[in-house]
Amino acid sequence: MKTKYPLLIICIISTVLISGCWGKKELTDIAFIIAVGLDKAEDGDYIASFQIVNPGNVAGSAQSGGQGLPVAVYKTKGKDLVSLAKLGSKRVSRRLYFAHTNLVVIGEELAKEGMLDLFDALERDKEFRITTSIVIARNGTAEDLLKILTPIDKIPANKIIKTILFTEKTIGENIDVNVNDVITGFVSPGREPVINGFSIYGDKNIGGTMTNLSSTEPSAYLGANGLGYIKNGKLVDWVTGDNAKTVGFIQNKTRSTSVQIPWKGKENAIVYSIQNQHTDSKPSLQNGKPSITVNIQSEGIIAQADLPIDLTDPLVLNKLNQQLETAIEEKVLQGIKRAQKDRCDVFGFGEMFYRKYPRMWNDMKKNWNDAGFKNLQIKVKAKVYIRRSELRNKPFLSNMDNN
Amino acid sequence: MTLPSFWKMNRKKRINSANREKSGQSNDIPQHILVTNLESNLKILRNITGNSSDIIIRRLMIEAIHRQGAIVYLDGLVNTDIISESLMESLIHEKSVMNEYSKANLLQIIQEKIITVGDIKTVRQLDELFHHLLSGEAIILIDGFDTALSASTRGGEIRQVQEPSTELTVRGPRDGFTESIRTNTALVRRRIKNPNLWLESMKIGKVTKTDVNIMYIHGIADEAVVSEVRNRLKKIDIDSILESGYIEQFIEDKTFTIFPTIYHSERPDVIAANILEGRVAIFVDGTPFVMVAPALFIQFFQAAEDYYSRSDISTAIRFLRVIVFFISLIGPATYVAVTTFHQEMIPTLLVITITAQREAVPFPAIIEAIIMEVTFEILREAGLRLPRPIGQAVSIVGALVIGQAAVQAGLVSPAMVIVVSITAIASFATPSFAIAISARLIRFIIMLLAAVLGFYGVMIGLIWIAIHLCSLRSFGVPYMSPIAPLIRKNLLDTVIRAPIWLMKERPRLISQKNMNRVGRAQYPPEINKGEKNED
Amino acid sequence: MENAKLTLYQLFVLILLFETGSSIVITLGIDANQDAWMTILLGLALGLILFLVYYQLSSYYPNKILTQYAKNIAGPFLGSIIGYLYVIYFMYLAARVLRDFGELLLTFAYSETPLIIINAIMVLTIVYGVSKGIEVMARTGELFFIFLYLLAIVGFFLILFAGLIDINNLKPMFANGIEPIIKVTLKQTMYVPFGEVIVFSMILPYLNHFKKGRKIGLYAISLSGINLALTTVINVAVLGVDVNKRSPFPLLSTIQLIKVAEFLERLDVFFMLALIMGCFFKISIYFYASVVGISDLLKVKEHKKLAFPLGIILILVSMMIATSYPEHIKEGLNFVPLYLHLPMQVILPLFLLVVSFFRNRKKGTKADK
Repeated sequence: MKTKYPLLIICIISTVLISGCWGKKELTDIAFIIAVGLDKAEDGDYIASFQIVNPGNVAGSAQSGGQGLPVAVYKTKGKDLVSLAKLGSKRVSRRLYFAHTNLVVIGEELAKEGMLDLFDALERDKEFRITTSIVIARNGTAEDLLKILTPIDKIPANKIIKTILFTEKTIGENIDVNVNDVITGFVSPGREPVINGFSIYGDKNIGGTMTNLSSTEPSAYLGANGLGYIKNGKLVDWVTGDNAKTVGFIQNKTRSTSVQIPWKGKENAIVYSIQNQHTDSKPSLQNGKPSITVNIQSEGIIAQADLPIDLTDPLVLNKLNQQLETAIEEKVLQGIKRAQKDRCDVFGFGEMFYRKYPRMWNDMKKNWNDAGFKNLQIKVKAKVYIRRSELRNKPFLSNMDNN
Repeated sequence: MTLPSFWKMNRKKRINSANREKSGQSNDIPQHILVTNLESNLKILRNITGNSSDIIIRRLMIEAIHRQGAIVYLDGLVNTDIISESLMESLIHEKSVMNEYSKANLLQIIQEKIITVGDIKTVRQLDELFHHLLSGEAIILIDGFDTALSASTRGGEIRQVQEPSTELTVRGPRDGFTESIRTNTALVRRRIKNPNLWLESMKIGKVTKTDVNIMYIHGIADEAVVSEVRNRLKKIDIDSILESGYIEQFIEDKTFTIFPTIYHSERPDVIAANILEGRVAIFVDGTPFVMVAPALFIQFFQAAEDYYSRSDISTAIRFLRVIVFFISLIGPATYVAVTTFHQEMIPTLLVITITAQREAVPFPAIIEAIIMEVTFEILREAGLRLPRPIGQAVSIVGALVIGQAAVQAGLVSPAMVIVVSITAIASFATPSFAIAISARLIRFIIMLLAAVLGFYGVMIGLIWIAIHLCSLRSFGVPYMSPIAPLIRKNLLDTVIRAPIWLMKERPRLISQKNMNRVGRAQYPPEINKGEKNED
Repeated sequence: MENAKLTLYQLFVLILLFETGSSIVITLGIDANQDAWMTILLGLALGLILFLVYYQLSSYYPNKILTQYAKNIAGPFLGSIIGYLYVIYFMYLAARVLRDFGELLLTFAYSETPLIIINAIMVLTIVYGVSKGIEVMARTGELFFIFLYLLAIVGFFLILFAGLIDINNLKPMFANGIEPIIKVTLKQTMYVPFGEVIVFSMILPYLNHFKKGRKIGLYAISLSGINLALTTVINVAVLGVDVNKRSPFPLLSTIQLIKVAEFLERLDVFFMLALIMGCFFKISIYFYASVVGISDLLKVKEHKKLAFPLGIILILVSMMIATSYPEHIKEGLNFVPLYLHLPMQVILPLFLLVVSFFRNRKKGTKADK
């Protein structure tokens, strides 16, 4: 009896090993899809564009090749996302692999028509990661956006992703949005998602060829372009500039930006650069009516002073602070009012009411996206602290003889 | 049909093996004892040894008792100075004492009064005589007596005590064991000057009759373990023992395991330290490798130097060793698993680079891995056989050059070469060779598992190994203590090496009774506070 | 019953690994929305009471496992029926957890591999472990416990440093009052995972210091309860209630969101490692209880002989209990707690306790040693 069991076990084990490995994917058999673009065709079908990496042309210099293009874009047309991916297998010589898809681009037209049908497949799929960044191709199609080659980043999708990451920290007009954020925004009755916009500047026909990379100023390049308000899964409005910064402020994603104020009659005389800001929004009831108080605290430096001013005097700084506070309050209020006009609560004020006044929220939420948000009373209070003025205290203009 | 012949085969096998056992032993000594006639004795001796020319028979006249005598010794095994100066000098030149003593005690007189050698024994049985003769002692046969004397004249060429080549340290004693068992036991005795250090000897091996000694400290070592060791050694029935490895294979716990359950070392300080913890040391004549039982898994990760250096450095290095062991175990398997099943785990840029490298390679990752691993094993074996000056260079340069050439030929990818190299280096960093070999073998199994099922396979393999390790016992002590079962006080000397004054207790499961080894309040004295800078 | 002794620390580790094993992975109490963690703590409290019941039963019959003292309490015929019921119950639960494990692995990692292969390989390992005995399994548990805890702590800090935790997701607390919390506790969390400690009535007799076992058991269950509550808190804080409710494996979704320092991302595989280890122990302990119980009821001397055949039965049962994963889950949420857990974990033991209490009162303090 002793020899029987090991024999049985060996039989079982060898059936496992001999019958082959099921889920095995060799690296050379998969196509790494770095970015997916979604558009709508005239007949109502979806068009998916896959930006696929050509590894030999991307990797380090020790490999053979490196002359060809780093990416290739393939298109498929279908009625739903899953079949789009599977139809792609007819065009690409490898298995489409979505685990490294770091970017999803949605064409503006499709965004305006409605994006809700797109997201379930993205969320459910096990290969697709929900930390994928998402972007709307503004003034164009996703397909064109994905075709543009970029001089500094070998993989164009990386350029888009990294641009958003860095601009979020530098000027704050775009915030990094991934699929998870968008879906939670869809579901929550008290918040709406925003999605970044990206545009092609220049001639997009040359953008997809090698010639684009062979001049110091590329014929076509990609740039971030505003934030899109999404309501009920549809793109309803674009905001840029200060209005876009407001979203970043209130969601506490902006790290730094710059504020200009006039001084002594000169426009844009002093520029204040925020190093750190923190925004707190508190819901409250004023006379039974819902209202939000937004507290912004920022500290930063004077980055530019274009007229004689004594920056060593704390009293002068105090005055500057007050001016800056007013300027910021105005801008933020404007930004909120713009969202209110669109009846799109991108700031999550509704959610804050839910957290603090759950029972009241039950009544408010049906109406929130219409009148509720619009009629919300807003109060903005900013507190500005100028901490330093970098490497010079008084501007050189102060010491010039009167010119 | 098959069943009856199956049974018949079995029976035939059993009968054959029984017959073989009986006829196995080749040395049949027809007569067992000496006779009184000197010439006959010498004839018997010469017959049995087939007139071997290295047996020197020196006849002489023993003045003291006026009889013919002969000294028989093996050239090359004896210290000829003692023979000529002490033995022959005393036997030939001592004046006659026939008058003073009666005939009956002559042998005793020679033994006690005449011969000036360190140790004398009387021998009557032939096999005992041959044992002494072949160990290097001189046999003194006297005409008219059927008892011979055996004088201790052991000598001959043995290697001098030098640093062992397999266990080098930067700081620590530089003596190592040699092939002579007495030197070895002396080296340990020198370190433990305690009368409780007891030594027992036995002869194992029907043909070789090798000397085997066990050493332990009475009062610290567990009596049950000592008697178990003794019993197992006594049960060994084989014709030859050439190295301690033979004995190890006989006395280790009977589990089909890759992992060693008996520790061995070439360094006397290591053996002494183990004896002090309550273990039993087994010395085998003819090999510098001394065994220690019982052994624990964690011992194979400890080096002598850990105890001589500072505790923080030793702790860091011990952590490194554990990491290194894991790398040598699952290194290639992880690479295979990640590149064939879990590509989502790798950062995007890295996976693209690796893919670019693999575009040129025709094999799937597992085949590549096996090719590289086997090549490395071949290189390693070759490096062992080459003469020393060339050996080192060829191993390292060979590996690099072959790796580079293979990459350029498109047979393997550079990433694979790096993984395999790191794994190989990691397996050298394990302090004990026995465990490194185990890891080398298991690595292949885990690679295969990784190729079939990715990380799940690797994990299952590791669980299997863990269950196996935890089920092992070495002479009754669980192999994985003190980690499992957890004994907190002994944890101070496992992956960490706590300062010496903290390691107060001996390993509990090895020496049950005598546990404390450090006295009270042994922590270093506090610095004198309030010392001023004085000019 | 085999000839083995467990130390207190080993019992602690076994209970902790068992409780945390698969529960860390699935949703617990999410029907109470963001108050799920409160249901867990409440379930913990009830579970501690249940543990005291089981421990007390074991202490009336020292060195006797459940199938043995059931016969003492309820008579040989009825007692062996109760024994068989429990053995089948344990086997079914082992198959449930095995199915959970296989489905999870299939879902996110090995979608092309047939379920039976994944299950079979796990069962092979478990059979190997169980055939070596409870001592070996306890020691293996000690080894893996350290590793698992290290993983957990590192994971916790990574989630912290990734800035994913948003405490606001946990508010408002008691949004719908205390009623849903109590309902969910009584329907789910009390039984899974806390009532499942009944399986330790087959293991408690092996303790070397039985008296201290009660304290250790309570500690272990409390610690695992706190772990689970903390995990639920983190899951809800990171994902929000909605995603939590819709994910079959919320911890996986949480781990997928980790992005620290640009290279510490895509860490799902570590989740898989923790899952494999945890499930291995949970299934092993259930399986061990079942094997030992059967070998005791059928008077087989060595339980090792039964391990392999029962392992095959385990694989088959795990494939047969449900045809799809949602069916498996629905069964587990609606049918099993009410018709299986409630009688086997609460009603029967209480009944046994009451009877043994009266019996031992009659015998005096002789049995209380």
